Amino acid sequence: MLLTQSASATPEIQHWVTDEGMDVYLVETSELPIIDIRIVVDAGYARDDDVPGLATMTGELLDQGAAGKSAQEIAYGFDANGARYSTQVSYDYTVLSLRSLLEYFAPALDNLIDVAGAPEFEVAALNRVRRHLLVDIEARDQDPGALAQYHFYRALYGVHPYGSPAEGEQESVTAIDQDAVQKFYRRHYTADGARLVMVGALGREQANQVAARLSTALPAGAAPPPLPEVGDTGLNGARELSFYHPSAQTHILIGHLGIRVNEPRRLALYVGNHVLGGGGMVNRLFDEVREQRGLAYSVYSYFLPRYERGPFIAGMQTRSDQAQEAIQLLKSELERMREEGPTEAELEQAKSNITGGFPLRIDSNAELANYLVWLSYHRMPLDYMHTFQERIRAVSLEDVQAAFRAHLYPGRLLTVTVGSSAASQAID
Amino acid sequence: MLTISACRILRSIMQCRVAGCRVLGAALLLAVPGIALPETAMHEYYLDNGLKLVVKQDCRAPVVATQVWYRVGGSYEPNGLTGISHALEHMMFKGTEAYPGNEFSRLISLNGGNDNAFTSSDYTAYHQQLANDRLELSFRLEADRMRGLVLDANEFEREIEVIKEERRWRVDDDPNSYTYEAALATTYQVNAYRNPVIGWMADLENMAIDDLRQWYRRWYTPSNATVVVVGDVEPEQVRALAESHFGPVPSDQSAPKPWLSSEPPQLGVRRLTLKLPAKLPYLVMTFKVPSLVSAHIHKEVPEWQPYALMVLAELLGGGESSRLQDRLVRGAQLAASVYVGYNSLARLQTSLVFAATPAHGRSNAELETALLNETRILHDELVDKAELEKIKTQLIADEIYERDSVYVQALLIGQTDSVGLPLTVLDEFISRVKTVTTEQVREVARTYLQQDQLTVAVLDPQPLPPARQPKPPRPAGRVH
Repeated sequence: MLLTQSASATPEIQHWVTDEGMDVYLVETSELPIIDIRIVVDAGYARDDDVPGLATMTGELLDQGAAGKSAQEIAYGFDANGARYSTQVSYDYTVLSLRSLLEYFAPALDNLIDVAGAPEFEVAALNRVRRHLLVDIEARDQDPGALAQYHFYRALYGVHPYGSPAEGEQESVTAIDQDAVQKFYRRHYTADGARLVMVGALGREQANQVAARLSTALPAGAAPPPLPEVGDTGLNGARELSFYHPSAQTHILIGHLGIRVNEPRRLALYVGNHVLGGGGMVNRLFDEVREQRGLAYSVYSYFLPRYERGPFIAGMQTRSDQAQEAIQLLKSELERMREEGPTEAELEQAKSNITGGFPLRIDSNAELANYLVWLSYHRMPLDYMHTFQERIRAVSLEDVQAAFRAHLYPGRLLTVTVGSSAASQAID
Repeated sequence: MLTISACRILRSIMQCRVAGCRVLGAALLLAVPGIALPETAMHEYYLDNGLKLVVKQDCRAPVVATQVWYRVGGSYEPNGLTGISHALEHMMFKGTEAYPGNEFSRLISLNGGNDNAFTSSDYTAYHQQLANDRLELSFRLEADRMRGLVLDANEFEREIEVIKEERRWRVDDDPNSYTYEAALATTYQVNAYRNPVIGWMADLENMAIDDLRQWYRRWYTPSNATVVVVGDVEPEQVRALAESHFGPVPSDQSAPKPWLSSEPPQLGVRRLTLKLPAKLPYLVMTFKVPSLVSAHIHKEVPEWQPYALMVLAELLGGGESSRLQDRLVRGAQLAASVYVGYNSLARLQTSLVFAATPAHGRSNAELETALLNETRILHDELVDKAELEKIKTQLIADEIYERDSVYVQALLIGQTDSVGLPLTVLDEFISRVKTVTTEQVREVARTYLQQDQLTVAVLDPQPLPPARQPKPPRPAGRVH
């Protein structure tokens, strides 16, 4: 039963481009005295090239010294004004995120402009952040889940930068110097190619001024070139990698290359995956693996579309003596889905959940700002949110079946396991 | 801002609240030109069967957060039955006569809602977020499973395995989590916070369906529950809806009396070491402190003390400009990350918790010395007015940001109510924080941050075998 949705108003997005080439997205809201700013730059860790950790290092150094202010002065400048700042380095982009009270927006903004536009990358701070990254790299080795991710991405992507871990590698991080970070910043934090998202209690005129100031503060220069394509490298046949770890559970990741954000079948795959392993506690994997067999607490699948082809991953963790059974079960569920597709009832359930749940994804300023980060980076049309539910409703059973046949390859899976299961103890 | 390391280390901490008490207030002492804050009144109702209902309006979006809070959790459990409240939470999704199997989740999902639940030491909460015209569905389903849960033995046999996997994932295979769990078990000898909410593995192995049936009958009753609704709703309409769905739920007893497990005084420092396969050392330090419940309900300590403790926790660990970030993470570079937690809403005597990972090449011992030195500074030196004002601004700002989320607003109401505090505590939070003086901060530091009240747990990392990839069993295994 498809429930009709009342026409919920989606926020009105105002968009313009600054003189320097930065795309600006504004949603005015007036109920709370809060302003959310997100600066999105093409400086994700996919830009590390052959220096894993460079993007993360650069991002983490921004607020550690800028425009003559020390890290403590910058931090104080945010905290004393009730503002919250953070840098999030993701694979495709990096986000400089500010949440501020309306009343103290002016000093918080000044601080943000210094951080975004005049970071100093001073050597002592660089060495300190380096040591933090070295701790993060070591932390990976005591975390079987993190290890599974690490090996999966390395094996899946080979030399493509998507295969690199965000925190880097010991060798590469040790070698990063001030020059490398400064070059990375100037190359990737340019206003041209950046996006600015603003949500909250500010009007168009004020937003224009904010955008102009940020735009002139960011480095000049052309936008970075597009990321290298991910070709059909790596997996022509199935591949299995097992790593020993003295954990009670074995962590399992199976998958292969997936899709880009601009893949025409993206929404069909999203709906189809919702049935398979994406829809909260109502999906096939949850039912078969957890409910019926008690094999895992967490079991899931997803396509992760990125600017370039992201992965398709199905994953779970289970007591090590159950690992083989679990892997077989996951694989057979993928095969079943590809062969048969979802049922009509499953499809309607998924669509109803996705469309009905859409307003919940943008019901706070913070969530709306985060959604706009994604929309802005991928240059989605301004009416994307407005037409989303309609496009989901339009996905048919045939669409999903065709999408799975084109993009789900149970016969060509990369399987990575980390744990103490028997297979990984066969060490030469 | 070190998002990666902080996130990885923080994820292992299950029970602590972030520094300070993020609560709501009706009277905002910042002048906010041009924008009046929305009405923050909370409407409280009682049904005849003892069920409490709290409704708060937030009309920014046509959504509603609806939560059912039961006053039972890890700290209600005797030895041998640890983990039972959490196990019951899992079983609540296994069906009733009217809605068998996973019908609950399926119906909420079909209606576009999110649903989940969590168990903590002091309460168990079931929460959904839905379009505001679907509230009836939530009430219908929650009222049904309040007394109508089937609790099938076969379902339990499978679900207890899921819970064991959860324990392995969250604790047993995570050296920091494991250390933290041991730290709590040593901090408290009698206080039931010593037991993990997820339960000791031995208790999970021994748990029986009859234990759950008894636990359910005893604690899941309208007189032991509060329904919290925040969103674009009319309070009177919600009350009528609650009356119609929850009203008929039988309450065959008055609210069961919660067990107060009083801890004998700690008379000296406690230390423990965990030798675990790991790469990194880890340090957990706890000092016993009172909560708002100790002050407000039991009158064991003056009412200003928990607020001074919130300020103290925020001073030490709240934000990038906090003392420990400034001095230990950046200044002396002794810590890669540091966390400070104080649960002002704890039902029992609680702890101020420090959890930290030493910086690359530094030790737990050095970090402990530095942390203790910071506590000594707080004994000897008054915090200056500017720093105190900064802390207060941070706490007040957090309160405003919380209003951006219907879920968080409902959570705070539920957390406060479930430990027996009046909701006026939420209204008073800002004004109380504003009256904290530097002398009060020094006094709570002197009273509570003392070695004799301290428990120290250190993770001493043992070598991890190298994660070598074995030779594949069949030579044709790899294709490039």
